[in-house]
Amino acid sequence: MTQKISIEEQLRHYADAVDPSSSARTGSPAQGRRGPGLRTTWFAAAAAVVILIAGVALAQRDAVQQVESGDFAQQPPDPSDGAERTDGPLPLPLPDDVPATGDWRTPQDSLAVLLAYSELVGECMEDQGFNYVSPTDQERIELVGSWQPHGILGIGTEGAARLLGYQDHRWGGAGSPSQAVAWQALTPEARESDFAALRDCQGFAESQLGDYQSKEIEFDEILQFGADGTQG
Amino acid sequence: MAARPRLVRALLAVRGVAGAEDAASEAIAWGWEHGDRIIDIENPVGYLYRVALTRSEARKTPILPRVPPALMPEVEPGLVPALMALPERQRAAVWLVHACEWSYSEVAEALEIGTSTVGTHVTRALAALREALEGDDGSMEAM
Repeated sequence: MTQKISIEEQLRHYADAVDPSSSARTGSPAQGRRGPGLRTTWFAAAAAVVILIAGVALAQRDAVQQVESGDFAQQPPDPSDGAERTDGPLPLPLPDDVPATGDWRTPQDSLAVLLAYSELVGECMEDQGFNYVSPTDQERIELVGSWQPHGILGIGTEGAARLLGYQDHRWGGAGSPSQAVAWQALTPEARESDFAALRDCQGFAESQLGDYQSKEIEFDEILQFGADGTQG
Repeated sequence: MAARPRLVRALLAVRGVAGAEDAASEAIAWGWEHGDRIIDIENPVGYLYRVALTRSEARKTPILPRVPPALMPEVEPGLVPALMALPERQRAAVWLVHACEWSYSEVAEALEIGTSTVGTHVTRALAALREALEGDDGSMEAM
C-alpha cells in the first residue's frame, strides 16, 4: 500500500524517533497547569500517556528493587532486547561528531549504572566521615528520571549527571530535594568540607565506573560492578 | 506529567541531541532553585524553554541525527538537513508547532514573539522545507 505523509507529519515522526518516550514528550507545554484545550486527538493520546507512564514507573520501581536486592546480577540484561522492553522506536545512528554512549539501554540497565555510582559515592563519603544523602527512589522516578535513557545518548549525558547533583557546583551536591534539605541543614563551613569530599568521591566513583564523563562506558562491566557494589 | 521530557523534545531543534538534555537540565536546575518564580506560571515549560535558551550555550550548528531510510521510510532523508538549514527562529517555530504540538500562542510566549510572527515563521519554514524537498511536493511515498 502506498501512502503520502506531509512534511508536518514527517517532522512529528522524526521527533518521535529521536525522542524515545515520544508520547510523553509531545503536547502543550502548559499541560497539567490548566485544562487540556488541545486537539481532539490529544485526549486519546493523553490516556495512552498515562498508561505508558504508569507502566514505566512500575518497571522502574521494579528495577530499583531488583538492583537493590541483587537480583539484577542474576539476570544480566541483554541490550538486544531493550527495544522490546521499552517498546519505543528504534534508535537512530549517531552523527559523526556526537560521542557514542554505548548501548541502547533500557531503564533498568541505566538505573543499575546510576545506583552503582551513587553507592560508590555514598560509601566513599561515609568512609571520610560525611553523611551522604542519596536521592530517594521516588525522586529518581518522579523528579530526576535521569536513568531513563535517551534513545541516542543513553544515560551518559552530562546534564543527566548534573541533575543528580554530582557535577554541578551551583547545586553543591544537592541534586534532589532530599539532598537539598540535607545540604541546607549544614553550616557554611560544613558545606565547604562536605563538597570538597564529595568532589573527591565523585572522582573516585568515576574512576571505578570507567570514563563516565566521556560516555565511553563498557556497559556490561559497569553493570557487573554495580551488582557487586549493591551486594556489598 | 514531568516537564523535563517535553522540554528536552522542544529544545532538540535549537540545541541538538547533545545540547537539549544539558539545556533542559540547566533550566530545571534553575527552576528548582527559583521555584517561587514559576509556581504560579501558567505555562511553566514555555518559561523553562526560555530559561534553557538563555542559560545554555548554543553550538554553532546543533546536531540532529539523519534519518536512515531503512528505519524510517516515511521520513525523507533530506528533511533533517533542510530543517537544520532554516534560520533558528523558523526552525524553532516549526519544530514546536509540528513536532511538539504546541499552540501558536504557547510558541509565541516561549519565543517571546507575537502570535502572528509565529505563523509567519511556520509558514516560511514549511515553504523552505518543501522547496528543499522539491520533487516530492512536501510529501513522499512510504511503504
